[in-house]
Amino acid sequence: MSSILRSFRENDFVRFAARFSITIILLMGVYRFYLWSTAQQEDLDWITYQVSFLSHKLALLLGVANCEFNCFMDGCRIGVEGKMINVLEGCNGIKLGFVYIAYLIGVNHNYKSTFIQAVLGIITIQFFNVFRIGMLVVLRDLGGDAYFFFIKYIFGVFIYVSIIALWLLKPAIDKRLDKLF
Amino acid sequence: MINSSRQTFGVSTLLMINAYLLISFGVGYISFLVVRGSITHISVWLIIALFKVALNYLYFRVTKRSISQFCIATLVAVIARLTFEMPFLLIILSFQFFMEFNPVGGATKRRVS
Repeated sequence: MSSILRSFRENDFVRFAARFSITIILLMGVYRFYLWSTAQQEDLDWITYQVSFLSHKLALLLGVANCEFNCFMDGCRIGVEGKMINVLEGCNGIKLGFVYIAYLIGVNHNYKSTFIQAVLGIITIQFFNVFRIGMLVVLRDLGGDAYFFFIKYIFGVFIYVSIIALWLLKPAIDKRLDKLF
Repeated sequence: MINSSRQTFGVSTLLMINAYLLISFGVGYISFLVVRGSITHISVWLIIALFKVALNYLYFRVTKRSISQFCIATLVAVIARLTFEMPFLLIILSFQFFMEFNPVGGATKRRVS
């Protein structure tokens, strides 16, 4: 029995699975606590607010006239009156970031490089997320049902491909960072 | 040998992402049926969940992973999905990318014949 357990512990896949799961539990625990504390103050969480705020700025930059921006306790509403989209806590992309960080910690090449890549990854994911919501506001403003296709398909592909690109670039980034530190 | 399996991995990953996202449309249609009262909400949830697991099983079979790897990855993804509403597909992709690219034993050692 103990030899089976030992061989299981030495299996790199099982080690990855354990580290990955523990990281997700810890990150989600902290995040849930943060959401709970903001709810106690009857406030919207900072991440959802910033993602909505930047998406609104992007929509204005892309030429959506009279684009409004209202925030409530459960999320924000962006867009032209009658064609607004809801940005809720689940749309802030932070859970995608957590999975990305859990992968980095699961692999655990080097702590410094893991930290730097986690920050770069979160920035990249949020960049695509803000782009996604900003474009949705524009598409909703233009009218038609095309925006539904974009929500469900095109932007999903965008975000997944961006994360996969980060994973594929990881060995190259590791090499560069190893030289630096 | 590694190149052809890597190609299989790339193509199947691409297909998996597309299939998952296209399911979203299916979900939209089934939700429409639920509103009409043709089927119940729990049966919709169950059909989609089983379909996703079946798709995931095919993905692991095509990329030549072992049953235990499939079970562990699916278990982690299902639990994370149900408790924290984490993205199921991204968790599965994390495990697949670890097995395909990440060091220690190398990709070939992680494949079953």
